Amino acid sequence: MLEVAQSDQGGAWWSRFAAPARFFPLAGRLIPPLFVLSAVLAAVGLYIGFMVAPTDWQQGEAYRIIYIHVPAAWMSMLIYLAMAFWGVLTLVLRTRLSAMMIHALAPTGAWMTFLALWTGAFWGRPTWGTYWVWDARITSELILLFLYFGVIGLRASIDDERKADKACALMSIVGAVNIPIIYFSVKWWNTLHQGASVSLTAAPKMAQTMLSAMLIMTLAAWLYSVASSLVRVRSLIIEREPFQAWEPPSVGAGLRIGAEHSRSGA
Amino acid sequence: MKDHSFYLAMSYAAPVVVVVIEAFRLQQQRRLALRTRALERAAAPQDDGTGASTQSLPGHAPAFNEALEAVQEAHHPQGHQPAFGRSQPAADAALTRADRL
Repeated sequence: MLEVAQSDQGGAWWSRFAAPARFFPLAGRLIPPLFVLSAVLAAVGLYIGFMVAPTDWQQGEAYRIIYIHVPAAWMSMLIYLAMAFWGVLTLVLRTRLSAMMIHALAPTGAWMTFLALWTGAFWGRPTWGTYWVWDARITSELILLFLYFGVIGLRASIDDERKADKACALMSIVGAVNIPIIYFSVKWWNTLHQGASVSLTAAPKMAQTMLSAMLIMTLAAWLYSVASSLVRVRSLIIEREPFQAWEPPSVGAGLRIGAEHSRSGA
Repeated sequence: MKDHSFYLAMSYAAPVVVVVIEAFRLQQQRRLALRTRALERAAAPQDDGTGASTQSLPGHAPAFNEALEAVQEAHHPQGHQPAFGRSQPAADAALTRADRL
């Protein structure tokens, strides 16, 4: 509560939400629309991807794995960068929420990385003739999965919360070095993995409908990642700050009265 | 053109499985967090006279409030809720009930 009062007195508007007491209800309000929007966008993206977008002349129907593979791969990198960002805030500003964000993002990031590798394998088999190859892009993505496991494992292995937070923050920052390696691996090395189909500096190398479906699916994956991370961070706040009154007092009073009734009834 | 339906099915089944597992894990984590909070609140000194309550878990399932009460009964049989004074076996039973919830 003291933290909320202090944040009210000054500082940037966004810093007000660094206090778990303010962030908790805000996240609670955001979660349902984020999940719903994510589901709607995924449905739209899949409809365009399967019903509107044409079949690839070279890869046939197998190319449609792109609508899962690329969003998952992008999310795997983006989430790790977000973790590194929260890691910097954890070490510099020492805000409690930033450390919780790292812990909340890591499992979703790990799932996204797993999905990228899994779908990549099932895309590689019909197009390259193999599920796996020790290619620079694929290997660096696998290292990213291990980095996620590292952050999750590090937190689980250190009892002292503050030490665990610092260790995870540091690992998130150091591990972020791998992100440009993943992204530029197809340029730096001669890889079996194809180069980027979408670039900010060049025209897309795919049909407009394919690109639209892929971008919509990416947005859906992003919204899903944000929503699931918010659910997780709310659980972390509950767990770590058990003596904070997150709920409006009137609601609490009502339930306490209800509890009294049930006791007297028994 | 070869039939790629197996690869497509395997690829599209994965996110469905992931979403289901993650939903389950999120639910499980939330329940654990609520339980931890309930235990910590129950173990802490109660009612300091300021009017601030550490007793209830508003906004959550009634079942969990019941579990919290069970835990509180077990931890504070002689606490500030004299109506809940119970013997140790009864307290253990309450904790077991809370565990099940």
